[in-house]
Amino acid sequence: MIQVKDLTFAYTAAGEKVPVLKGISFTVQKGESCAILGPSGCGKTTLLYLLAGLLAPGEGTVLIGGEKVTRPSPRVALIFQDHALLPWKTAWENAVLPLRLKRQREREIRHRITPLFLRMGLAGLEKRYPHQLSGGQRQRVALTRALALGPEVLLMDEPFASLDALNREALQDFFWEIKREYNLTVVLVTHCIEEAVYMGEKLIILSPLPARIREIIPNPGAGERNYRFNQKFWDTCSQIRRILEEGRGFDEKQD
Amino acid sequence: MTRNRISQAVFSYLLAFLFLLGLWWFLAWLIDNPGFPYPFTVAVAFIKLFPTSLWGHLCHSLRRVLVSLSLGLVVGLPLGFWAGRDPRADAFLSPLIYLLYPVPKVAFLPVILVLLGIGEASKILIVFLVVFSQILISSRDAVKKIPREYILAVSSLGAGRGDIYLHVILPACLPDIFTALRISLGSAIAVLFFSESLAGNTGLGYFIFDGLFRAEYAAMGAGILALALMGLGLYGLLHLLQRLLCPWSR
Repeated sequence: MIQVKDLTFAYTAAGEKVPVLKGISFTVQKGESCAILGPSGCGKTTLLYLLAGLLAPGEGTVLIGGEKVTRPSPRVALIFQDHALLPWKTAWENAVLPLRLKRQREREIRHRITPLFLRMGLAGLEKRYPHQLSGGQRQRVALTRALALGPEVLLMDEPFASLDALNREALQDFFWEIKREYNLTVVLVTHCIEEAVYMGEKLIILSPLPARIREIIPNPGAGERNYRFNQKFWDTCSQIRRILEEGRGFDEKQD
Repeated sequence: MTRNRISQAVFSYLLAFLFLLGLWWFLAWLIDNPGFPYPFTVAVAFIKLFPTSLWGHLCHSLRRVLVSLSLGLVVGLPLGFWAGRDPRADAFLSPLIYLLYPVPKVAFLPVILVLLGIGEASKILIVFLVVFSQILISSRDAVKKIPREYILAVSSLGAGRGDIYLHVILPACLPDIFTALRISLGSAIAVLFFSESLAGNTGLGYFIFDGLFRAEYAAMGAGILALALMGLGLYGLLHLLQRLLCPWSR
């Protein structure tokens, strides 16, 4: 479904090129959930923007469903860190925005979004502005907006970072339900090891800047209801922690 | 707003109004000079003069302020948005604005009067110059502080350039534009008053100075009252428009 080949990207700051990603290659199968893990500021968000077609790579290609990604597509939805809901639009207006941008008729919009709104547990909150919603409710509005055009791929940037532990776990379970219900292919970036291990059937560990792939670990138990209480979950978390710590030691020696 | 809060606000404004009225009356009594008439004298003159002459002058001034503010918005907003979005435009416009902004625009009035005469154009142009730079700077800064994620989020949903302006840039900047308009309004009325008193025979500035020169202090007071009410009305209108157009910022 997603094929990333030799992806390289550099920002230009003050006339100098700052390499962010170097030779990134991986694939994500249809319906698979992939978590990308790495230290803060290692270029995870940039990688996600490249997959979403919001940035163009310096070298390499991103293929989604066999098509080269050159710009945003309705097949791919992106949920931003802190949700990026527009503060001047109500929950409903935020959720229906993708359809309004496609100039859909009001009746069609209501027909499509009302059941989705109910499914997300947002009924009754239509007229509230983002600042009047809880973190979890904002996340659900962002998910509704992302699913409005019926995407096949869902990209998520640290989606649970602003939530407390219990809400975070409840919402992670909810995401798994939605992912299965809509048969989504998911790529999620996070710096939280436990979150990555619970959310990603495939775990990609990145090195610090410029990011390269340090390791790809299969994690078939992800998303199972009791996985958090399973020894395999904690073993995988420890394995990742070791890889990240070794990487940090390696980078410090390099410095 | 709950009924309780509304009545509380009305009470506060009523109290402030009575306080100012009391202060005016007290100062008139203290100064005891026909040049500073009592509130009652001014109110009587206002009621008498309003239908005959004051209304016409008020309309002239109001039209000049509204036309200048509208022109300021029509020219200042697009330039501000352009400078906020495009660093090259900003690099060109910002130095110009920074050099011209501290110069008191009212100093250009004699030049404008020489070039455009004492008619409408000169008065509108001078007020426009005052509000235009304020609106340009405010809208440019408002665009610059829009979180990049909002624009990316809407772009990722397939928005075109026009959609980004409609759904992100304009609403994000609206509260700042209203603030700029409120700040500009005071300067605009002050500059208009000055230009009307200096040239021409219409507008509240002319009416007030005409009262002064003819030593009709009650009429002069009525003119000042009309100017104050015009400012208050416009301020209230901006407040109402902001409440209507920016419901999220209440």
